[in-house]
Amino acid sequence: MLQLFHISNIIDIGSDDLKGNIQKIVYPKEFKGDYIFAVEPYFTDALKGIIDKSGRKENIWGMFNQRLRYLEDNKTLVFARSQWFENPVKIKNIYFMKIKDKDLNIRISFVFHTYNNKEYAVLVSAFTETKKSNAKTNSHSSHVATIRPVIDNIEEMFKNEQ
Amino acid sequence: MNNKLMSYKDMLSTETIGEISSNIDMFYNLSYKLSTYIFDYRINHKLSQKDFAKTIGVKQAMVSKLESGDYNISLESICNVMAKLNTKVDFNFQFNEAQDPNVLLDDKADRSTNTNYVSFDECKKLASAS
Repeated sequence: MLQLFHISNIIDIGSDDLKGNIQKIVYPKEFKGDYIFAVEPYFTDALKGIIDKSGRKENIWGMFNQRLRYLEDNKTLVFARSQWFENPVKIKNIYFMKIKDKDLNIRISFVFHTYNNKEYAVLVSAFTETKKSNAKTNSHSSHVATIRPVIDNIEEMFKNEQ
Repeated sequence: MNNKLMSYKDMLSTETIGEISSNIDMFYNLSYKLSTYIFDYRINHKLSQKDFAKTIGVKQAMVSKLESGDYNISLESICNVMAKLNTKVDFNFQFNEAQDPNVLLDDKADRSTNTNYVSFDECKKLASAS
């Protein structure tokens, strides 16, 4: 069930938060940086669901942290590194981090947003990509359909703040 | 009874990985540096993985592994690749006194400043005195 946030509920609650539910990465470990945020608890709930079942929390964190560092350093230029990031042509303005660990093929969706003249990456959700047999529930298009209301909400929130 | 509400971050802190750097953290940190150096070198020289593979005398699949960030490469292979790239590699070892198993820290001591530790010998004296 989607947990949407509402503009009326948005409160600045400290330096770890960009706006309300848009917060710094704290799971599975804190990531220090000022460029990347996540929609919480929506993002962590999705990632936790994948990581907890994997039994490889530290390895997945290791790879997730690598991609976060690369995104923090290279911002919108990360897509040159196609092993780690993808910018699917058919999906407009939604991007993905790729984490491949043993049998898991994790995708982390994110968007770029400008707020107070500064650009940010906002992680939205995560899913595991599977073979074609499960494409209806584990594909980019089904994931995008699921997260679209969350992204629309972020866009509306930032638009009202410009 | 303590009815104080836990914040979302407090709740997560009970499930997150501890702050102490693990061997896995170190592996992925080193892999990040190595894979990013190789990737940046290849892109800056406008080389495909196939052309870069020829430059360093390996197969294209090996370049893909080197850039993946989770390939457990041998020291000898690192030296072979870096020699081809005219790049010197060195290790930096940083001993973390605060995590030395021979040093017991007071529960509330600030690990970063490490000013409030009790040595193992002192601890034994304190234990025998109490």
